[in-house]
Amino acid sequence: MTGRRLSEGGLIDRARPVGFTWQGRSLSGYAGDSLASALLANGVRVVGRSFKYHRPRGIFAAGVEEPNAILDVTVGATHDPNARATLVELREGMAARAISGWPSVGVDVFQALDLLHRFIPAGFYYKTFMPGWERFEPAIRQMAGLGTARITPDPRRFETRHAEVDVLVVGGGAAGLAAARAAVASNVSVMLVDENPVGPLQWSGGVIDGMPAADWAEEAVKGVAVLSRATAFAYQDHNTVAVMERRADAAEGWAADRLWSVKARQVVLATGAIERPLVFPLNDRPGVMLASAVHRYLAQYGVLVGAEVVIVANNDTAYGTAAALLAAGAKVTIADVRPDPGPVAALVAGARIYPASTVIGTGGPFGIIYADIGPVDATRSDQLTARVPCDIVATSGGWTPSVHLFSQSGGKLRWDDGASAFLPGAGRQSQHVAGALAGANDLASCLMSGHEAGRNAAAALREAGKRAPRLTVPRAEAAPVATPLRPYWFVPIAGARQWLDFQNDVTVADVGLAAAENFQSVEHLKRYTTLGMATDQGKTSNVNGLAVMAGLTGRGIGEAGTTTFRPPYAPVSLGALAGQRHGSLYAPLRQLPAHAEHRALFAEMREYGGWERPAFYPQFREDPPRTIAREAAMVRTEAGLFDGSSLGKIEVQGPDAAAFLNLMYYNEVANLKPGRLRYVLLLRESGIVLDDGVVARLAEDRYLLSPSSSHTAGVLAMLEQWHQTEYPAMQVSFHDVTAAWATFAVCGPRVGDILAKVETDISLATLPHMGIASGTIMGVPGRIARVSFTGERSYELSVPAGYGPALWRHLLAQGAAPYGIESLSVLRAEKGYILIGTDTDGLTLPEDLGMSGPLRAKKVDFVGRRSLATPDALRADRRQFVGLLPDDPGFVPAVGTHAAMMVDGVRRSLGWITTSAHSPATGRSICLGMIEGGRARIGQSVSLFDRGRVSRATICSPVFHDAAGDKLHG
Amino acid sequence: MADLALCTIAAQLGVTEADPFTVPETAQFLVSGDHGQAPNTVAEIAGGYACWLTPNRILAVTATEPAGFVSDVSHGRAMFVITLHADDLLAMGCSLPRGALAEGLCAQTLFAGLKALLYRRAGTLHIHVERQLTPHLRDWLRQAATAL
Amino acid sequence: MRYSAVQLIRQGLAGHTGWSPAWRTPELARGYDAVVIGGGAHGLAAAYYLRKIHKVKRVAVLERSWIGGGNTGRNTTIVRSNYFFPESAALYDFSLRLYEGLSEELNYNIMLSQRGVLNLAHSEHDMELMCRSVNAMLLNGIDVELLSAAQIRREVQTLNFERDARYPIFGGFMQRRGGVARHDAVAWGYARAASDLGVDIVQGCEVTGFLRDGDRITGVETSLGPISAGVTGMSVAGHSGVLAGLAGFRLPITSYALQAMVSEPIKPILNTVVMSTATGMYVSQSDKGELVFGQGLDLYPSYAQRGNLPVAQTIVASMLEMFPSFRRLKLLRQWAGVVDVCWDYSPIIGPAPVDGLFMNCGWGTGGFKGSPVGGWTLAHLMAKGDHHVLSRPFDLGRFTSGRLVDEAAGAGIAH
Repeated sequence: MTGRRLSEGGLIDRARPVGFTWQGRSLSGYAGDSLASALLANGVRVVGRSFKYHRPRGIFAAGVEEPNAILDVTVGATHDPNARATLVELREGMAARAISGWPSVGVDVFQALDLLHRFIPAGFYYKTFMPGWERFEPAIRQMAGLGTARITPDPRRFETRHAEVDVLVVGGGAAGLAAARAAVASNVSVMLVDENPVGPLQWSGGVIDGMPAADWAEEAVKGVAVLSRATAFAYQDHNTVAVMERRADAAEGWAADRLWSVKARQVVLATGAIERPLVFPLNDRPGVMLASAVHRYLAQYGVLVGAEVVIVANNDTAYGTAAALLAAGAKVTIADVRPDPGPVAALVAGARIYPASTVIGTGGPFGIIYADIGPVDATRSDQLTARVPCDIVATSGGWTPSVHLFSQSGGKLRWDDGASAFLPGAGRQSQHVAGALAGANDLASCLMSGHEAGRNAAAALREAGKRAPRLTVPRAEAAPVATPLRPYWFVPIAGARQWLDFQNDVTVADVGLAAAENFQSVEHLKRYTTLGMATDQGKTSNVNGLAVMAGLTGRGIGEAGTTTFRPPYAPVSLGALAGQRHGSLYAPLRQLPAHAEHRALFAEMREYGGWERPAFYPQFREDPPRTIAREAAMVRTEAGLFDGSSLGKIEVQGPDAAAFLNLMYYNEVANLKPGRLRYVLLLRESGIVLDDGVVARLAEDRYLLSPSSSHTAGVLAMLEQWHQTEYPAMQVSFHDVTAAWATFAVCGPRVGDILAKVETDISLATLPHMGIASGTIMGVPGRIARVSFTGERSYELSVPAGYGPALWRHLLAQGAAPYGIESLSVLRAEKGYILIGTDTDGLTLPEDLGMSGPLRAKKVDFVGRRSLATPDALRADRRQFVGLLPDDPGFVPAVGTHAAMMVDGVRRSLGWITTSAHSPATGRSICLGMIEGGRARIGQSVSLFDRGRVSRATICSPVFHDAAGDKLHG
Repeated sequence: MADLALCTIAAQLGVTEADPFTVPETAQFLVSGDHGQAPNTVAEIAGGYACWLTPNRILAVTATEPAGFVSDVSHGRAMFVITLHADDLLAMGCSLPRGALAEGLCAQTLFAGLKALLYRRAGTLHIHVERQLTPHLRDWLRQAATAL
Repeated sequence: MRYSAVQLIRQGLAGHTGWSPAWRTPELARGYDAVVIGGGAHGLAAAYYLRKIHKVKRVAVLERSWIGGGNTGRNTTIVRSNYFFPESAALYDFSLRLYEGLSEELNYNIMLSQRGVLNLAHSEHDMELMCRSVNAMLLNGIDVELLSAAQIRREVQTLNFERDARYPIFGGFMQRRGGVARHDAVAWGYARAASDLGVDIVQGCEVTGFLRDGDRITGVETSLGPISAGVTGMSVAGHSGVLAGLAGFRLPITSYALQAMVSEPIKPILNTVVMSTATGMYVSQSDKGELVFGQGLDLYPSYAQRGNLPVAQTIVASMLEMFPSFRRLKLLRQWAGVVDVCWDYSPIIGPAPVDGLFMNCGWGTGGFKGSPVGGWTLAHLMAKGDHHVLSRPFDLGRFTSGRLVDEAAGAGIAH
């Protein structure tokens, strides 16, 4: 047990204890704790196991860069299988468990793998398991993965917000606050986002403008919209930044994560820098921590992580940690890589300092118990100067500016030897960089740089001629004269195990192996060794890794470069990204005007082309085939009622309407008389049939198009595109009025009786087949078209949508019986009418359907005409639309059954069945299909193949009932 | 839970049993032609106002049927009028910049994942969506209210 | 040097000091018999087969960045051959069969996992179209089976079987031989084998133009100087249009960004590759435990290799619509490649309109599964000057004759 809570200090509220469990054990923390600080305060050392070698792992850092403390956390109904303990705020009743180690994280049998580490270096799996990978894979998969996801549905809703600001400041440290303060003074809207619940200045101490930093911080953001617990994770095009806010107080049913999409006219990036560790032998033990994290646990949470601390560093900042530790009563020893630490040594009277030294070894199987200090050029592990007992090794190898967002936005990076860091170079979007991100390394320079960035952002938005407001730079005491950092990347002891990536178990030796095997580019290094590909995304390991690679391959670090930075900066919730786009809102279904009527009749509603429509209307104890047969029979013998409101309706008007539509459609439509309808095809430029439907001419310059319901939007888009891009001089406009009308088809032998009881001023007696007329129906404006999709005498009545339900009820009351899409499909199949997308696909040409007449008759050009003359369009063996009659009249083949023939002993497809049903009108099964050279094969017998089952059928005409069409014209 | 005043003007949001023949109170027309309006503006016209849809088309919300190539779409579009929390709903439902809906302007965009026409009038927010999609908008608004 | 478990042990005991480079860094020659432009899996495979099968003497692969860094390193690793048309079935299944023997042939574990690829049907109509596809595949000799909803539920419990699901699952079809393979390993495996056979793999070498003798292409201009070539092949997914432009012709290709994403790693939860035409999404779980998924294109032509948030959100929403419980998981990495989409969604393999140049391009969103056959057929073209029987239907000339191989249409999508 090493860590403990001090009786005072920190921002936690000792008056509000919070109970939680770790591995089932009840522990206690305080309000304001993170899960990590609470665990440390309770002396917890081992929180997990590393991925490959299953070595024990302890908490390493205090923020988003934490690589080891990935835990399974449950609070109430919320469960996170991979929670980063340093970002989890402690809550009453929280249950945390380790996710690795069996039987427990403390005693893990798989640590035996560590004994075999010599044989499983980076990339070992590429060099073995051939053959036999499939045998080993399940075991390897079981060993991999972090937490275990639950498969129960997640009932929470996720909120999304869009925001628009003049200036977005990312980062709430000194620089970010100074930037926000400077910007808001210019009366522009400013938003500041920071990933922490509590801003860093609240606990880091210091004096700014004569007051405590914490107080100055509160003043600085007056007038600024502040989002805390908010991680900016993606910097996209158009200066749009995606931010994930973790809210402490989401409303019931709503998830705590809220996604913001923030569009800013100017962005100030003050994202700070993350400390990187020094690399030394056996540096992965629990108890090795970042020096800045040790300091933060003390200052923010009042936790002293260890009683005896060895600090190993190559720069001044760790001395601040040392001083704080001494003040808290810890024993401190310092190994400084530099031959002369300089003035900072004065801060740590009471600490033993070893200059030109580093740690060359550590001991302690379940947590550090000693550190061996030796010379920086040690080549053997026995060259130690001193073996220092300790429970914590706090390491500081320099600072890596968090350039992720800057790089995502398209900015270029440059390696700065003096800073030993990649710094932002030329940016591409409207942005400014400030603070540690830009290389500032003390409070005073961060404040200055932030102030300047904020002023520049505001200036970029200021109208010409207006003056900047007066505002002084915030002042803080300048840091004592610094001794420069000395780059030191690893200890030159051959054979020593020195870790770079703690979660994925990538060591310096692995980088050496990659270099030797020619995986020298940084992307190859990353992919081959998996350095930086764990859930901490290499925040504390990437630069160390590529510095090692650069050294091994004789390149400068800048020359070696970095991997591309891509979103997200830190892992973000998938549910929050999807937001409310799920279920019906993912792809909203349209409802018919008479939707409630169909539900009242217990219709089976299904999705067809983006609409919810009645498939059939089952009666009590009826199974679907019986329902469909009953409905179809009823249409043929009595009268049926069908809701066709989803069919498209596009009004086309203008002096050039006729000429334009003639350019679009396959069929001649310019010679259509007012009051008449024509069945038409619409082709793509490739000649493929896009849609069929009916075109009605209402007046000389006015048409009504009726595309199929699933294609309306596409047809409208096609008309608009051709008009706007190719024929803009033609005077014609298109109105999509699909939604404004309800349309019902009444058809069958008794249709006349039904319609006699419908009050209308439209003369049905004089309405010819394929005619249309307007007038009033039941007192409201309406149209009646005489057109049939069933082969029975049929009238389509249209009224404004709001009157639809009432008209439907009236027609029902007159004795028309409802039928749905499934029975319509049977009825039209009996007549050989095609269904686009069922009998046709993306290869079907008009000639394949037997519809070449219109082409011969049409003299003008139209979309797709040229493609009908290609060699492929003129092939004799194209698949053609025909009917098929199975030899067994009681057998209904599955749709998708192929017709096949034997060629050299191998079965070859001749085509397939596209529609198949029991036909009530003929009392037997009928099929429609696309068969090679089908029309020439009428009368032939073919073999049918369906998943191994073979049967036979005869090819025939696709019209099975009333071939002469007498019923239509009666 | 916020108190959201939701006023549905178009009667096609639900046919009431008591009134089988429902007529929308406000008529809407698609009008194509040379309208002379600047993009994304709302202009006053006889009997009402007109929202810009395209360089050649407007949506006229008016009791007086306009002249020209006109299609009556009163029954095809629902109009939702929001009087409270409009800014929050806009932030949740669409990505329009603030200035896009200043008084006198209109915008066509996705709201709550649905194609919508939006504008403000006399301080209230108007949202037009296709009548077939209104159940989804209603659901979304009801849910959004709980988050406010 | 042969890779094996014995070698690992031997090297382990020797401190791993004896491994040789996976591929040589060669001295760049001024001329080669065959030059392949593009160091992705397709290009490296072509170079390998040029040496191995056709015994072409001096072969080079020119890669402007680092090998496998383009679409080869950015895809979602799915391999399958469940295609509709006989021409496609033959092409992709040949590729899959090459994959099945590849680890042994290259002496490199490409981690092929034939865990099955499942396509979901969300309506009766979908099932009917699938039946058509399944029968077409069976007749083409591809192993597939139509599954009912109940059968699917037994195999993939995490799918959305809720009653009120927006896209209920009616069934689907499964190709058991389909699955995933490790994309980097395919590139590195081919590179190592090719290098061992003497192929010069040149990284950091960008082609900036073509050398000509009259109308015939005789080599390339590069950032490292001119290189003459007896025959040149191009295999540069994402930039085929650019290279064609340098050679003086146009291709019926549009380049778009295709995003892909990876979740944080979790314990095994998904043992099959699942694809859904309704939502367009496809997902699998890597051996490391990460969910790897993708969906649709950022539909504006771009070479940027990045997509934007609205499409990223659509991709995530589509995947979660099929697997609602995954909402709790987190996104770990997101990236994009540039895909060359062809009019009929089938590749273009064959002679370029300019003599001396052969093309392998237009694979759109489905190039990874075709890496072995893409290399195989390009090598054949370059060595023999004419098509392999597998690549002939994919010649550029099909856009003139109209004989497209439209797989989306084959799936019944009347687009």
